[in-house]
Amino acid sequence: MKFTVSMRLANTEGALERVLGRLRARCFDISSMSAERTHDKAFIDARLTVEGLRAPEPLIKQLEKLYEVQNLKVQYAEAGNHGWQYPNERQSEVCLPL
Amino acid sequence: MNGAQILIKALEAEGVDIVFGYPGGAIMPVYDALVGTSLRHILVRHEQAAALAADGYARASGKVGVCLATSGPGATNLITGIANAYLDSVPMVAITGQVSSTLMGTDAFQEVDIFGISMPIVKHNFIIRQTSEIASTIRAAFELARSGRPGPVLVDLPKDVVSAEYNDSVFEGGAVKHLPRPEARQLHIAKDLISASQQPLLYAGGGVRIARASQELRSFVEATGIPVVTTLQGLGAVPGDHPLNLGMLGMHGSKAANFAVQQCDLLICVGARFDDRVTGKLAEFAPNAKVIHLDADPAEIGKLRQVECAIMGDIKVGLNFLHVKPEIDFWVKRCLANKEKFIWDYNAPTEGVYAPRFIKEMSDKAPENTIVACDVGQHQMWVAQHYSFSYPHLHLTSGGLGTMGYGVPAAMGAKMACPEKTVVAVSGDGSILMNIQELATLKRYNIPIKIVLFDNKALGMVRQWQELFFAENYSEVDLSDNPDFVKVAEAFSIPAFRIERQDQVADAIDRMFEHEGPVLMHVLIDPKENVWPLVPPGKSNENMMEAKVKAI
Repeated sequence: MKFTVSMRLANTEGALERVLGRLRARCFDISSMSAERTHDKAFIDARLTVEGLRAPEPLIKQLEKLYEVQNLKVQYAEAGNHGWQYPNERQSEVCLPL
Repeated sequence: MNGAQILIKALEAEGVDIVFGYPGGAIMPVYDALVGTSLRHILVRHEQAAALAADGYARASGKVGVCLATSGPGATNLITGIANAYLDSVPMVAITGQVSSTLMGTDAFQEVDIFGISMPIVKHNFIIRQTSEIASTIRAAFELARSGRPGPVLVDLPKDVVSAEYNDSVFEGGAVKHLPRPEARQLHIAKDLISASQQPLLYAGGGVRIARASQELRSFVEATGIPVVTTLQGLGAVPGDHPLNLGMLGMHGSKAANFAVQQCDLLICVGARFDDRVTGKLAEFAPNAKVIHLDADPAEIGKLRQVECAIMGDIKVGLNFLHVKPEIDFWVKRCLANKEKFIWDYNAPTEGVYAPRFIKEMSDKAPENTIVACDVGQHQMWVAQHYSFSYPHLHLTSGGLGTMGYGVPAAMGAKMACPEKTVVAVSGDGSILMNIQELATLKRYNIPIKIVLFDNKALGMVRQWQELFFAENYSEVDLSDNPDFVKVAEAFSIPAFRIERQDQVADAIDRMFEHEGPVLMHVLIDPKENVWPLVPPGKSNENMMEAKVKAI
């Protein structure tokens, strides 16, 4: 599933790294991104297009929890339920114990 | 006032009384400023133990635990303890020294990028670049650590920043962001779901301890009459001997608890997160149940399981609102019949010590409000199954990360936090050697914890899995050449004794509790004993394996 996350981050040390780290750790790929510091250097406006096999909703909530994230908007590439259920059987396999 | 003195003042303003740490090059200005202040510093003998002790301190007291280490290896040694706090949502502030700002990024002596290294396992972290920002950053760190879903926060302090002078700092401690009240609409939906349910079940997790919501949970159970299962972290949310408590669910849970989960039509999840050790095969977990999920962290809701009703925010408010009594007599009877049917059997055909029975006896004999800290492995599961906890903060266990070596440092931290309570560390022959150096700390400060060391001459849990799931191909689990643990303890000037027969158990437990000061009891147990029952990996919770015959 492909979706685009637009967010405004506080421009603190490590802000962008934290967002990228969380995307990787939660098993999402970035297909394109752009980020720009605002004029007063207080914020970063970032826009990331992301792909993954997992449902987007839990990821979005993890991003929203980040201290730096001021606001966040998501655009989905396709219609449908984007998170509350596993889209297919393969997803539940991911969460099997060892 | 220099940066280090500002740091100490800021910690004092936060109400910190004890700091666990280990000095070194880059953190020396802070240690210099520490002398003569109200902060009590406990010198551990490995930084990992500083982090784990701060974790134990925080879990037992509900306050923020603080640990301190130098740059480089000091900081990296904290990592396991920080990750442990992260996975179990423990409020902690870890302070690390760093090389001077001008040297950062030059591969200087004892320089590591601890900010980057710790990023995935902290709630947040900071590098302080200006002396003027120390006081406000420490305040923000504590606020973050204790607010919402708690977690560890790391603060990295370059040496030049703590050495420089600044005189205009403002010290305001104790900031906390309160949780929002749950949405009224969701509460009403939940109330309707409970009224309409025929087989409801309460599934309580570590969030109950974190929110200190045991009383609210108990009132809810009394008002509704709904049976309860708890997770490892939720043990004690309702008293172990409460009639409606069906025990722990999940991989090593009780049969009554797992059967109830699989059959229920409404699962009320309070501060738990559908962890894989709890659910078994997720797709078949509580297959007939609608779910009401109460949690402080919105990211946990719907993460692994679709919910009918999400109650985000303060679980105390949520629980207090939901006092409705559904018509469930038949269901409760069935649950209680199962509880009776699958009651633990402590009769073992052996003269040796049967660990589950030992723990049951210890539970019966322990003074009220005894804190039990566990290491990780078979003994941890036996404690969870057979020790009856009256409150969740009396059970300190590394649930999310499963950190061997957690027990002794955590018990140490808990004893520092609650000197009036008896504190027991239950450990295994594998785990104890991961932080054995802390016996020196126990001796130095005369921290009177009781260590119960179960010795089955093996890495028991791994051995059990190799026996059951790897065709008895025992690989690197033999510990038959263990050191003489009694002599090891005595070398650290910790009194110790050994037992190996069941008939010695009662006296030994009395002796341990009566002993003043730290003591270690070495308990030899059967190497073949396994933890039962067990949900095999990838199976649903109905498929519990049991011992065919007890090991002799």
